[in-house]
Amino acid sequence: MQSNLFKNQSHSEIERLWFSDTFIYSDSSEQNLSRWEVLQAAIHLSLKINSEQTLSAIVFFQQRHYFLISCLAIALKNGRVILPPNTSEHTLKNLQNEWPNLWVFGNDLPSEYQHQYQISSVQIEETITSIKSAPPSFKLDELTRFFTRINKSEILLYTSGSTGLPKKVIKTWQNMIDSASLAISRFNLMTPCFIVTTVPNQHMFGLETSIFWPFFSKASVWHERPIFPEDIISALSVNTQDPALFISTPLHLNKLLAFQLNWPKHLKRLLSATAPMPDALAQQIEDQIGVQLFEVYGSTETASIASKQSTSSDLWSCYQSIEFQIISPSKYAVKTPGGNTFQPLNDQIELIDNRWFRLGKRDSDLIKIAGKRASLTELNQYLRSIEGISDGVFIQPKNTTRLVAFTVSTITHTEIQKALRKKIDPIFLPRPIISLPTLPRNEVGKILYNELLKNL
Amino acid sequence: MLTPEQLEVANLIINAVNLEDINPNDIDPNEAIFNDGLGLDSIDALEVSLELSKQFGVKIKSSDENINDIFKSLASLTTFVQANKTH
Repeated sequence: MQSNLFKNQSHSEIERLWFSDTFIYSDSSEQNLSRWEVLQAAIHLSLKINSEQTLSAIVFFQQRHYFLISCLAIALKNGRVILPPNTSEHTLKNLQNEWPNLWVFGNDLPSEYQHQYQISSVQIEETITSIKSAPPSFKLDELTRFFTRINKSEILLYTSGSTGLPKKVIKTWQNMIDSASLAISRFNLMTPCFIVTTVPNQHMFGLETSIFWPFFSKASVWHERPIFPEDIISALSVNTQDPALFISTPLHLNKLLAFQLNWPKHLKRLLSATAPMPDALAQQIEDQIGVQLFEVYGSTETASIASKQSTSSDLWSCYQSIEFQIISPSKYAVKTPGGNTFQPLNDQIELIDNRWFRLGKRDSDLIKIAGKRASLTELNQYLRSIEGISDGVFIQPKNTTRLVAFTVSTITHTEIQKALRKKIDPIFLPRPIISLPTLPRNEVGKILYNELLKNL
Repeated sequence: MLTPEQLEVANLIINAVNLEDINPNDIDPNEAIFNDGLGLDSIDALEVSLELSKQFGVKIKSSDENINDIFKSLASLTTFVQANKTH
């Protein structure tokens, strides 16, 4: 793998990229980190982890540097990194049951996790301070040994499978690096650029774009996950010497348009993923921001595999070396250099040839909001299990992204929201809840959706 | 019981994030509004911040204030708005 990672680069080029160049930008230049400093901090941090069993650790950090240093330190201990799909009480309890002796990397832990072994940002800051005060010199051999040591360590992500039950997706560091190399070549990231992204580290697209793409290319990255427009604009202006790449989701980009922002001149490209971008929105974004917008297609199982400029084509262009296998008409499985097996796609596709495809329908039970998947069947089960609700159903109206719930209940909407919050990710909470005396059903008990929608 | 200022912010949140089925007077001003409380998320925070900037000229920026403290409860958000509003 070393030959792969560092191929075609001279010793001095590798040294410049890994040792001298700024990799993670922070509020002040003294706090910026090079790739080498990140590795050294991870080595120091790993020494603070005293785990007798195989280390399993959840990483909650939103900041890119805390997150990456944590993940590397866990990998150095031959441990597995666990990325929770959300932080609902239900999910956290399940993870605790699945992984006893869980370590938690993060601040402000949820109450369920107060008693776990914890590494907070204070400890990571200490390691950063100590390596900054005694800067270690660069050794190529140490760099290659570092990656040889961690390449089989695992990163676990959870996603809703087609049955709606959480499904575990296991990626090794090597898998993630191999996937990243495809995107790096697709988006030309071996030319220096600066990435600011709003996508969480714990989501596959965030993990790729804020961690693996920049770490293994010449891109640098902003240390936070900015949400508010002011933060995004000021983050972009931290590095003006390199062209900037802003990476977000259709939902977030759509909201940002309403603020009428002055986007900086060095912003050269936008990337969007996690949900389909409506054509009109893509056009509006390009018109208002004045740069090209590319959509990225992928899944937790496959990582990203294709991209397209939405305003110019409805055809997705695959990254190099993606293989397709037909399951049934319009259902395909794909294999990437970053995966060992064929993985079925959640969407139907029309395969033009091995480089191009058009996206078809998604399985109607699966809904996706802001990059998170859920099964409507499962959400309905949660809704109906709440005490005080005798019947209920979620729907996703076409003109909104949020779900609406129709309920027959004896409790208040605030109480329903609270009960749901314990079980489901906030992104799927209904807006609004509509109470009805009964739900319209046909003689076999199927919901009459057209009747239901008249109540909107 | 909400103060008039809290009621104004509560109504703004309800309109911004489409919670019209929630009665503002059911909101406990000291309870969490995100996650455990009303279950709002980061995209909602963005919607709320857009409305705050339109109605009060308040610009929310996470780096210069502790954003979690501002958005902790209706009471803390109202205090922040009162201290920073420009119109």
